[in-house]
Amino acid sequence: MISFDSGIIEQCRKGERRAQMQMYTTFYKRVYNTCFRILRDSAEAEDTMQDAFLKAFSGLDNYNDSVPFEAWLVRIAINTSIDRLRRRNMEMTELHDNMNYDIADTDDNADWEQIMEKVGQVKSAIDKLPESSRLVINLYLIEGYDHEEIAEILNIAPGTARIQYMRAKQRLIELI
Amino acid sequence: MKDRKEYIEKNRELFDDKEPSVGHMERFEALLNRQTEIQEAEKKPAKRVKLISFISIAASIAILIGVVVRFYAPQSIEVAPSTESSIATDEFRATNDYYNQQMEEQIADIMCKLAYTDTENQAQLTRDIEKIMSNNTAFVDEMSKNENQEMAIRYLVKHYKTNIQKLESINEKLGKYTKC
Repeated sequence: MISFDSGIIEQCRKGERRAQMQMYTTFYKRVYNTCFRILRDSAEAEDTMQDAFLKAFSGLDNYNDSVPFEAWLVRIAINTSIDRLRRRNMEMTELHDNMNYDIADTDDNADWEQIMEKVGQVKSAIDKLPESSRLVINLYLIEGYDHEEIAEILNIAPGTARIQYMRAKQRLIELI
Repeated sequence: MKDRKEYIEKNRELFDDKEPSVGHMERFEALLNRQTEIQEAEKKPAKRVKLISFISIAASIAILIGVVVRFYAPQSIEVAPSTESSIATDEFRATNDYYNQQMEEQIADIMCKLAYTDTENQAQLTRDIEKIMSNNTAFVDEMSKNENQEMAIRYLVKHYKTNIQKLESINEKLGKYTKC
């Protein structure tokens, strides 16, 4: 997690501009990369990152410090990016398409360790995945969410999230 | 699972290696400023219209004339062709004209509704609209000189959308209390 003075949060709540810019400076790279991984477009990623910060500032009264601030902020960025992706007519139906897909429900911790040894290759292979697969893989492998969390983010059933991940991972391995 | 999350966190810099384009901080600060303006405008509720006295109608007419003269004078919102350094493309001008027209429609609507509000609100809203318009003119002028016209158009659109949203917000608030 990125370290920062949590007192800034309170100052941001009060609308102090300097604190808001300090917050932005601290987290922009983390948030921008999250948006970019989902949207794959630098201009859209920047717009979305800035929208996410604005949403965070205006929603600080709802922030509960039992959750790390960075995780809260990144979640806002992910939701904002996915909204934008949906507006871009992403074929979200593909995410629900899990019928008749026979796949072993394995523990993939061993797999991801091997995958992550080749980070460079993985990143370039992820770029080649179809949009919906890329989204699921990014959320799991790079943002660190589990299947239940991904299901909640994408508004799909946990089983569907798991199957989508397995399918995306299979494609990824083939590409690598 | 815990290992996976730990690994990701420890190696975060391997994944977060992209940077937004130069000037993003300045653009964000400008966005924050516009956001603050919106919030300030929203905090000023239009007061419930009471009986419209003869005096308030007279004041309304005076203010409306002032607004019309200010906003519909020849030097209103143009793509700053007056400055020699403007390098605005046809696309930039067309985009500006399109959104400019939308802003003017909102302003015309607001002006109609202003007549039904009290003098305090009229004065305040006139100041707000003046501020929006002068900021807009300065921004359009600056963007028209930007060598990267693609980026300039993108920020022009973003800027106009914020302004139109701001005007719509004012318009909506006024609409609750007026007949226009």
